[in-house]
Amino acid sequence: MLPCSFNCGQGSKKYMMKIFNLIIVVFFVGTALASSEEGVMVGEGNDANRSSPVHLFNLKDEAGLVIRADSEKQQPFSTKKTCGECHNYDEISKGWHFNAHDTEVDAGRPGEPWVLVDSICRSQIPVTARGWQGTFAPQDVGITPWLFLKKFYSHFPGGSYGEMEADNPEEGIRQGISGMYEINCLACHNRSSYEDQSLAAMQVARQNYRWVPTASSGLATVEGLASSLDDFYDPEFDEGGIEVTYRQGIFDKEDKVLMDIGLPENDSCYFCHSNKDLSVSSEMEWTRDQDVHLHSGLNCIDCHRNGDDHMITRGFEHEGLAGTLSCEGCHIADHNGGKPIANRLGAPAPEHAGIPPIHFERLSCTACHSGNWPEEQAGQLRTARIHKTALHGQHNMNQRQPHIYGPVLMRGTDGKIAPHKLFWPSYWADASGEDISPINPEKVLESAGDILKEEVEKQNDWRPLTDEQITAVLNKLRNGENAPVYIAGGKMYKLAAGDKLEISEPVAAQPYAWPMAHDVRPAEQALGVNKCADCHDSKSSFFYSELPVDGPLVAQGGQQFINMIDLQGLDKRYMAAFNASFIFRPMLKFVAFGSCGLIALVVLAYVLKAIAAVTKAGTEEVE
Amino acid sequence: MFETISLLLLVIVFGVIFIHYMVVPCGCKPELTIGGLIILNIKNILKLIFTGEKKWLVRLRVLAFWLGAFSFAILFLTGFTPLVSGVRLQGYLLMLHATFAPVFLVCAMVVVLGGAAQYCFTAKDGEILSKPAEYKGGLGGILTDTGIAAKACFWILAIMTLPLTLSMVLSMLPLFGTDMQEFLFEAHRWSALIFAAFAIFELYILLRLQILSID
Repeated sequence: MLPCSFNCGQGSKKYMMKIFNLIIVVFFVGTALASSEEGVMVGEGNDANRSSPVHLFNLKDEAGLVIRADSEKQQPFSTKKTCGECHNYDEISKGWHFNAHDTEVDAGRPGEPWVLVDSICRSQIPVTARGWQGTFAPQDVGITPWLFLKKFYSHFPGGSYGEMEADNPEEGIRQGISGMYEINCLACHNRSSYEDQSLAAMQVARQNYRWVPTASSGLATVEGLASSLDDFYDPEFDEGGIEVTYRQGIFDKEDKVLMDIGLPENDSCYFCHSNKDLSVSSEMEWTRDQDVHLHSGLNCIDCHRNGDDHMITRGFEHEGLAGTLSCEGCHIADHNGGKPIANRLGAPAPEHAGIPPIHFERLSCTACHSGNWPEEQAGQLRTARIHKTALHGQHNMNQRQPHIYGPVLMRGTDGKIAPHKLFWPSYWADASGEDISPINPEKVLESAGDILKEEVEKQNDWRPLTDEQITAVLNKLRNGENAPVYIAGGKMYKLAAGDKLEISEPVAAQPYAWPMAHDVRPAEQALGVNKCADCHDSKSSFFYSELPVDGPLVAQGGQQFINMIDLQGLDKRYMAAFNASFIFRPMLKFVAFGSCGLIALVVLAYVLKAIAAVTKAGTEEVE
Repeated sequence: MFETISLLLLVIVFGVIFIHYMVVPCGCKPELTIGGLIILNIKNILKLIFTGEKKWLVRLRVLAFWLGAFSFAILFLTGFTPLVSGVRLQGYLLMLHATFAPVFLVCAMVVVLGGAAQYCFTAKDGEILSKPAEYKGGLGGILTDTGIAAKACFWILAIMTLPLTLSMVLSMLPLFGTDMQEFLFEAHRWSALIFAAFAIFELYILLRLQILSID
């Protein structure tokens, strides 16, 4: 029975009021709680104050527990729990550096892939889940997230594949020991001199994933190798393991740590985004200039910006709002009468005197302004990520392969000729019609290791491969209806009747290239500074620079080359004729000015004569 | 916009010529077909070169006129044909255009130098214009068939040669930036259009005068 009804007395009214008040309180408390859950975190948003906030905070471990100076067994701190206390970790994890696995993200123009290199297998496969043409998703090459970290550990910023649960039980067991490789926020944001990305790479190589930020930040020393621990290692009970020792004096009396956190500095970016120009010896590296923008006082992040979502602008023209931070966005004056945007960041508006505007329709800004000045033969580069540079001491890798060429002036996906970095993929694959699926090098070696592991002397960093060896390996890879093929040096090798090699040049064998934007040269070092003949000449490097066709094939009979014009989508005969016509340019100008001068004189003479006649006629009329 | 206006203007030019020819006929003989006129003029040129009846400067001028007319035809076709397909002049057409441009210019210079005196307006032209009723064919006929229009076109073409040429040749010098380059390109296109319109009129008038002289 209900304690009250509509005709209840005074006591019942008080009881009703209490219930009403309770409902009101519950409503407001509930609303307050809900709003705090949906509310903005401390580090989210931007109140437009340009000072850097002080980062004095408690370090937290994976479980979210505060790490204290006097803890008996020190734990590594978790960026997800520590930084995520104030910053929206989930949103940040969708940022450009951490969404490499996400096929839903707009991949934009082609970029630098990871390259799966196996010199014994003679394989170099462009790998990325971004879907850029000519690349393969890790899973298509048999690379699990766990293997991804093992292969490409050195310049990987955490998150993405680093935080994926392993499907494979064996990998799952190892992941239990190594932990997740959370986003290493400090790799970019820690401005302390202790921050050591080389050490981070070493920790990843040791499979000490959960310890990476702790070690590389310099807040603690981390000793031990997760990779050497037993599958059944239990950190609670077993001895040995990985030990963390925080530096003395970093904790205050509330166990808070002061960190120099701020916007990324150029050094942080350079660790993963540096290039070595092989035409300059290590001893002479000091002679190389940086990008002209950096010398002018800009920083990487002045152009490559991001909001809370960490979707870094890549700086190309067709990037929506971010495109305003491209070359054109800052340098080209907009005279449409609207809000002026020219001279952004102090960028000078180029004069481009004497350069016909058609050049700006056919060439990207970088064609003339970026990378090295084109030489008779395309230069060779090593990139930080692909060749694993900047790993110090005994962990120095500095791989020699793949051979990356640049600048290769070729047509980009936007139809404009631009400098690119380029390498020739090579791999064993299963071919089904036009579908080519690379075979994981380890599987190739399982089947045909005896042939591929034969001792040979390297030539141009490659272990040479004969037609007979290719035939033998393809025979070993033949499995049911599969048609194994080998792709290298722009060609595809396939077994035909009688074990003969059938050679073709499918799109899949084309080199993989991606635009290079840096280092930007100053205007006085841009192509065209020596007038038209910088490019429009029958021997100009712009069109006729030689690009080596790189591969292990002995049958190629020495190094082969193609010209850059072969990759520019231009009519070679026409360009040859057009370039040759520049010999006559001075004569054309002479004839034009001479003829115009004489015509102008004649016109002027008869105009004067006409004036004289009119004057004379007027005088006669008066007389 | 340029494409539309230029196509429209060329239609108007040819339309006006057709109407003028219908309203003020200049005579019609079997040998005065287009083919007949071409053969006649080739004969005249050959005669001029090999007989040596005229002074060398006159011979040079006539040769320059016909070579210039041929070059103009090439420049006109290579310059305006891409407009029909809505593309920019490029590739082999551009090379052809650039090859014949200096030839045309030299011819134009010779014609202007050699013909300025002949095409100079005289007191007689004033008289004709002041008494149009005394001449056959009305004002349209007078303008074309007395040579007054030819003289006017000659001087307009001589003057238009200057912006037409300078707009292109100046852009080849490292003097002007992108904005000015674009302006010069536009100036070249528009002056070429005006030049072409008057050049077509001039050719029509000169052919009429040739036909009338045969009569």
